[in-house]
Amino acid sequence: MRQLLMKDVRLVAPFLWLIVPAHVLMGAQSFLLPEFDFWWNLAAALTWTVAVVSIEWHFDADRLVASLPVTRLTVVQARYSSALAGVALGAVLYVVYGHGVMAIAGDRLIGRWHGVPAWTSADGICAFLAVGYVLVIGFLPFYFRFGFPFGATLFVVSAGVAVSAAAGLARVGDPAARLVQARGGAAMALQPSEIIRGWFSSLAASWGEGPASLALFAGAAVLGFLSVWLSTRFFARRDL
Amino acid sequence: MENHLEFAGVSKIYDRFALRDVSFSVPPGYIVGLVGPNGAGKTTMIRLALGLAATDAGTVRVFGHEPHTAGAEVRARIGFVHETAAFYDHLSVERVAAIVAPFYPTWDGALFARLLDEFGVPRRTHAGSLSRGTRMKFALALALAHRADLLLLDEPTTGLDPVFRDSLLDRLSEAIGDGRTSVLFSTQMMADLERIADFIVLIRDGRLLFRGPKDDILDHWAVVRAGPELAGELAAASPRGMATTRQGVEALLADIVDARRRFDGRAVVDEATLEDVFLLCREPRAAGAGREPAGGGQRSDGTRER
Repeated sequence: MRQLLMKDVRLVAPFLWLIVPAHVLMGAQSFLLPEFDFWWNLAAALTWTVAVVSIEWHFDADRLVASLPVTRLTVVQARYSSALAGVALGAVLYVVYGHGVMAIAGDRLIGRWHGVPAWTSADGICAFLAVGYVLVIGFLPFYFRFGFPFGATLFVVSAGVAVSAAAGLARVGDPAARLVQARGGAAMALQPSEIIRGWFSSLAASWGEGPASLALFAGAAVLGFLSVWLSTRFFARRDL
Repeated sequence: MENHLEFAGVSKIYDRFALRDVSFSVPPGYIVGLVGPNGAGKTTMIRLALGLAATDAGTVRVFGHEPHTAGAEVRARIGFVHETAAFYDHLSVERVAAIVAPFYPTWDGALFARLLDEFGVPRRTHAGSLSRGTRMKFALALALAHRADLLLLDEPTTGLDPVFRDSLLDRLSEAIGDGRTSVLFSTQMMADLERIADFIVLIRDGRLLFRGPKDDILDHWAVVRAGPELAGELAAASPRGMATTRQGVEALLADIVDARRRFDGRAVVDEATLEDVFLLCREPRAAGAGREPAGGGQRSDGTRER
């Protein structure tokens, strides 16, 4: 496992310098389209995962990795660990970068925002981690079943369909959707922290905060376990 | 002593290709040459041995374990070279090695450095900039540097210059000298096999045609070249393969003494070379006496145009 994680670090090491210009670019766009900050930062965090799998696909190195003294289960576990570590690292950068931007131009940003930008709140960080987690555990089974380019495409299409379907359902009676409509429409819809807070509030109102938190963590764990289980099965069956 | 690698009735079915009922083994301390034309199934067999694909029927055992599910300790005893050596081409040779080395508890850094020097592989060059031959040398250095007990080499001599090929074959011969290392290498170069292989496994169209000691072929097999009037008689002599040529017919027979007794004076009877076997052998009957384990195969029409 450790060797596989180190491999991922070594693979992307030549490109790590891109972090600085990427955040400079994100900083610049914060003044133009602050609504997109969350997604820009999340995309940057997920780039870690995408970079590793695309490098392996580009150089046809899946076969090399699978020939090394590691089991396929370990390869799967290492990929999840690496991807989730990428999201966690991205969250740290998100906070650091966010506080940096706020220190420099916080007043101007708040004026253009529907309240305080998400990165300054615990909600924003939780939303960042939650959405990153969902994307990772959603993507990797597709990757292990179909490989990188096709699996990624299929995941994006499936995620698009799922989000559209969920949005359609939400209009029927979801409290988060009503909250989005009440507090700013499309711009608010780009802020998952608001949506997640809405969902959590409605859950907490019924069950209480403690049980609601527990239920969310348990649900996340079950989904994560299911995702790893599926990926392991898919990868074990794949001919390389 | 337990075989390092065993195929027992192995089949693997793809959409456009099938490997069927292949059985052979690689005992410790021996070199087994896997030979066959392009698309015969050599790479599929190496991939099955490495656990990169699962069998559809039969069993593959590496050190007694199923390679597809074998643990790291079993896989660490295998050195491999893929037909197309895939590396992380954006990294230098030494950085690729730094990725691979930690996976092997027996990795010998000094040996690896020596091999790179000996093979003339530049350490700081990006793997993507290496020529095909140098990539193969790099792959071989990686495979040899952890003193594997079993080397699975898929066409390792392809793209290599004759001088290096020669020294590689010497190195493989040395490697098995300890009696615990074994080698399975696929090739289309008969000269390589004649030099170092102890056993030959010949496959064609996914079917095993011959498995057995190389010396059985060189000592006992014969090629009979005759005019067309002997075609019927040769076909009745249970040839391992026949071909029609412009001059007449050629037949591969497994007993040179019997062939000379029957055809001397009426046909040219020569000792068979591995090249003759490669070109003519079409009949997957049981191998001659030898140390290899029992296995199966299928019959097919034994004649072809040549």
